[in-house]
This record gives sequence, C-alpha cells and structure tokens, in this order.
Amino acid sequence: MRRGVFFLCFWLIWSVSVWAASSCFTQGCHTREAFRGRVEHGPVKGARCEKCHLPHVSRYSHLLRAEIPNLCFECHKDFKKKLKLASWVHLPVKRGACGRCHRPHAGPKGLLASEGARLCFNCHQGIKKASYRVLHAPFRKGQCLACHQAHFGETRSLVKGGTQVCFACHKKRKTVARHGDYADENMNCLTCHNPHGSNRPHLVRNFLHSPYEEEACDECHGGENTGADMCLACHDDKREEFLRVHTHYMRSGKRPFCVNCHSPHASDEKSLLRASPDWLCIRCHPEALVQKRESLHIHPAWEKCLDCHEGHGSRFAGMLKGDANAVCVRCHKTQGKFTHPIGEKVKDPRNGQTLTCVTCHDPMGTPFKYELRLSGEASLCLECHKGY
Amino acid sequence: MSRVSQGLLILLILGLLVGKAQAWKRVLSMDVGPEGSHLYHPMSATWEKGRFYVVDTGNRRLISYDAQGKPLKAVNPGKRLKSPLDLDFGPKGHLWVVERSENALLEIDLATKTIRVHRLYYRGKELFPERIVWRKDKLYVLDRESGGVAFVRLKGKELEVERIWVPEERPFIGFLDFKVKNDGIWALEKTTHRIFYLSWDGREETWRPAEGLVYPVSLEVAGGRIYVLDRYLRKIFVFTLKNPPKMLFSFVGKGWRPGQLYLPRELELTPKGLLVVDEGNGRVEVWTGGL
Repeated sequence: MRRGVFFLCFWLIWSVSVWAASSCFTQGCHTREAFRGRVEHGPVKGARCEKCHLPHVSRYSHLLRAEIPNLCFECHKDFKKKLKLASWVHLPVKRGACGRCHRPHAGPKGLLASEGARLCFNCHQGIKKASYRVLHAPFRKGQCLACHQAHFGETRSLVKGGTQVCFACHKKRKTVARHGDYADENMNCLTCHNPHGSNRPHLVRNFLHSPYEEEACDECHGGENTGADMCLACHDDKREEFLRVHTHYMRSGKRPFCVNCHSPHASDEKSLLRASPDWLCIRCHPEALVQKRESLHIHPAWEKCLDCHEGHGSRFAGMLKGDANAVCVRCHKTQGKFTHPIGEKVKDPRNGQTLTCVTCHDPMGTPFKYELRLSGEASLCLECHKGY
Repeated sequence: MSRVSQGLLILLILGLLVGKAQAWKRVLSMDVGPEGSHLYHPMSATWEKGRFYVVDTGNRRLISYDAQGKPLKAVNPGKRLKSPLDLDFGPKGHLWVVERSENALLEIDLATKTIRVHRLYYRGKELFPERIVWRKDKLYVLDRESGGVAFVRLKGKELEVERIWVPEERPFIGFLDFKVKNDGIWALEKTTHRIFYLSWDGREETWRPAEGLVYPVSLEVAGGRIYVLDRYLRKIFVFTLKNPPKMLFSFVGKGWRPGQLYLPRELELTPKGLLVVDEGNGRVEVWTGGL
C-alpha cells in the first residue's frame, strides 16, 4: 500500500513538471533549443521551469519565484553556508549578483556567461591592459581559475591556498632549492614574482631593491642592524618623516616594520610597495573599502591613496599630505580661488575649526553628489546657515 | 515564564540599557585657549590636582583649565614644543611631555623653567614613545618600537627602562593605547581590537571585545565596564568587564557640534567624568552619568 502511494506521488510530481515544461516549450513562445548548451542548469535539464519561474505573475523580473540570490540559495544551500564563513568574498557574490558571471539556463562549464578570462576582464580591465614582455602561462591562456577562486577566499586576491598556490605546478622542493639558502617553503613567492607577467625573466617584478639587484644580500641579511634600523641605516632621510604626530612607525619584531608595506627585493611599484596602494592600505584600513562600497559618489582618485595621504607620517589628521585645503587645491586649482570662503580666516561655527574642503566634502565616499557630506539641496548648508 | 512575561522582561532590560545610555551627559567642553583661539588637533588631556591639562598639538602649546573648564594658561615652555603628543605630571610635580619631533620625553620644571630631554633606550634600541602615565613614581610608556608598554624609573636624574611588556601571544601588532589601574595594566591592540591585561603579579589575559568596532583608538576601564573609543564610528562603546566582554551600549555620535565627535583620539577617566579628546573638532569634553 505504502509503495503504491509513493509511486502515485512520484508520478504526480513528474507528470506536473513534464506538463509545466512542455507547456512552456510547446505553446510556441519558448523554444527548447534556446535553452540548450554544453552544460544545462539542473532544473532546465529536467525541464522543471517552475523551480525558478512562476507561470502567471511575479513581483520579480523574468517571472522569478524569488529574488536573486535567494532563489539560487534555495538549491545551493552549502554555498550560502560557506559564504558566511568566508574571509573575503568576490564583490559580485557579496552583492548577490550571480547573473554577473553565470547564465541561468545553459552555457559553458559552470554556466559561465563567457569562457576563460574574458569573463573576468569584463570587470578587471586594469589587469587585461597590463602589457608584459613575459607572461605567466595560466595568465596567457586566460586560466584565471588556475590560481584564483571565483567566489570567496582567505585573501582579497582570492588566491587558492595562499602562498602554496604556486607549488601546485612548480615542484616545491626543486623550486625552493633554486633560490639558495634564503628561501623556504613558507615564503610568499609573490613578494618577488608577478603572477601575471613581467618585463623581467622568471616573472621577477620590474623594480628591484638595489642590494637585491647587486646580489649584496648581506647588506640586509646578517647585518648588525635590526628592526627599522636595518632600513633606516641607508634610508636615513625617511627617519624624519616618521617623527610626526601621525605616523606609521610600527612594531618591528624579527623583520623591520618597513617590509609590511615595502618589498625588500622586487616590486611593480617604483617605491617598492608590495602592492598598489588601494590594495596595500586596505589590509589595515578595511573601513575605507566599506565606505567606498556603501557610497554612491567617490573621489575619482580613490585608489591612489598616496596622492593625498602620506605613507610614513604627517602632522595632519588622516595622515594628509597637507592641510585639507592645500591637498585639494593641488588639483582643484580654481576651487582654491573662488568658492565658498575657506581658509584660516573662515571658521566653522559648529566647532571653531578652520573651514576646509573636507568640512563639506568627504572624498572617501558619500551618498551625495560631489562627495558632499550631506545633501547639497539644503541640509548641508543649513548646518551652518541656520537663518536660511 | 509566559511569552508575555518574557517580552516584558526584554523590554525592561532594553529600557534600562537605553536609560543607561541616555544617562550620559556632557558636563564640560574645553575648546578654546585663554586668549580665545580655538584648539587645533588636540591629542591628549589629563587631570591633575583639580585642573585639566590639554595638549593642543596643532598650536604647539599646553593649556590648563580649571575644574569648570575655564581656560587658565597656555604655555610652550622654551618654545620647545613642536609636536607634543601626551603629558603627565611626575615626581616633584614636574611636567612630562612626549615630544614626537625629537622622539623624546621633555621633563619640564615649571618652577625653575628648565627643561630636561630624555631619550629612552632598552637593550641598545631606542624607544619610540607615544603615550605616558606616571603612577607611584614609575613611568609607563607606550612604545611604538616594541609595540609594548615600557616600565621606566627615574634613576637620579636619568630615566632607566626596566623592562617592556610585550604580550606573549603571536602575532602581536602593537598597542595603540593603555591604562594603568590598581589591578594592573589594560592595553588595546591596533587593528585586531584585542584588549590585553597584565596583572601586577605577571598574569596575562587576552580579551577580544564583541564585534561592532571598526577603528578603536583608546580605552578606559572603570566601574566594572570597559569603554572603547572608536575613531571611525565616532562612538564610545561600553562593554562588560568580563571575558569575553559583551557590548552593553554605545553613546555619542558623528558630528561637528558640541556633544558630537569627528576624529576622536583619547579617553581618560578623571574625577569629573570621562574625558574625550576630539582631534577633528578641536575639543575636549567631559561626560558623566553612567559611571
């Protein structure tokens, strides 16, 4: 008897789904061929259109049963769980925009919207544009996923397995042995090598620290100086920059704190930074990235942190390169001459401080036009001009 | 317990917490010097013998205020102050100032108007002082070189670093602020938001405050509570003094008007209340009520 009921239920579900699918495809509106591909999404394969769509009305576009990504998470439950535990999440995933990379019905492997690196370069155009004389094989072949994870990872670059990713192709023992006495298995290859490409052989990054270039390893390794003195012994002119009210002078431990930001060997930046400022600074200042993502209006040079901020030390709040007027006027020349009165003689009635550009603007990002701190329609002005 | 009773209990607790948060009120505001000019980037303040003392870093001066917040005197002893960061009063009533431009401590004898410069060394390394506290003839220095707190004593006229407390836990990034209390030292680590405690008998504990903090810069421990000042959120968060601490409530918010914070820098408990130094608004305020 129980068996009979089970088979009856199974037949009912199957027949309804077949009816639903066949009705989608048989009324001359949706052709089955339009939903075919090398890989077909499970519900499409089973002709279960109703898994995602409502046949009559819906409050969501494409007659979807629920909003994306909640609809996707109904089946991909494990993915949702992993997402919650992830340290870094790819931005489209974080925003629930599954459709940015995936097709809903059919497509190449992973139902990707396009194959290979083309998909990634839709957003990561800067990487696409970079021209290198020597290219890393996976990059040349457009195999981004050979090294990167698509959805989430331990680091912002979503590299698979952190520092160990390179050893998936390059045999660990042999690779380490080729680097002599100073290398070990836990070293981060990316400190010296650019995983995409370089103008130097062996993908060594383009700018070299002079002792490294001259193979004068002993200048740093095994020398008498420890901590920051190791670096300041040569770069003594930088010492004064740290002796300012706001400073990035840090605890050194076994290595000088300087190498938190600078590579002691090779870099793609002239100042030997470990990464471009927007990546490097965000490691300790993630709030800036959060503010950017939550803002509608962001300063166009947001990614060039060191255009406005000092890297070592500053006597101005926010480690600015000068007072908030001087920093802005370097580019916004005319604004320094005719604008709302600003400068030493003009005081903010709210706190008695000198009125500067950042009194009204927040270049790090705001919801308002021109990166205004409040709406320029009225509320910002009314902060001070009460009578209006 | 019925659902209605549970609901009422939750409402009561919430009411008490909100009431507690609202009970905090601003009682003093110090934002101008004796001649009427506004503070500019004040970095620190303290209370000593019935007076407030503020380091007006941007204007390169120290200002004293009476207990009602009225400015009394502004000084730049010997015009030596260029980037003063912190101050405290040491033995013999001498004023001690952290002078960043010289990476030194200035010992100022206000009576004889003399200044003595001290540089700190420990095991051949020069320290990088950020904040100081004198307590029972011992000087505690927040040292950015080691990231820890240096224990310093005055030997004759010279300072001698006895030891530096650097927590055993690794990785350790370095402290951003610390407070010396009757039961030991409390310190706030930068970036990780961890709070470290060192009892006077050498026992070390690591506390991680509940989530919600973004850029904490200063802490205070008083009345069975931990107070954490968040520079980015412009709030003072109040936690239970139990490990792990639970957040009870927060007060103050972002703004430019009195009673609001823009770029706050330091918290310090004084007999008059909780003192908050706001570098961005050029203001030092005292809050009372919840202590």
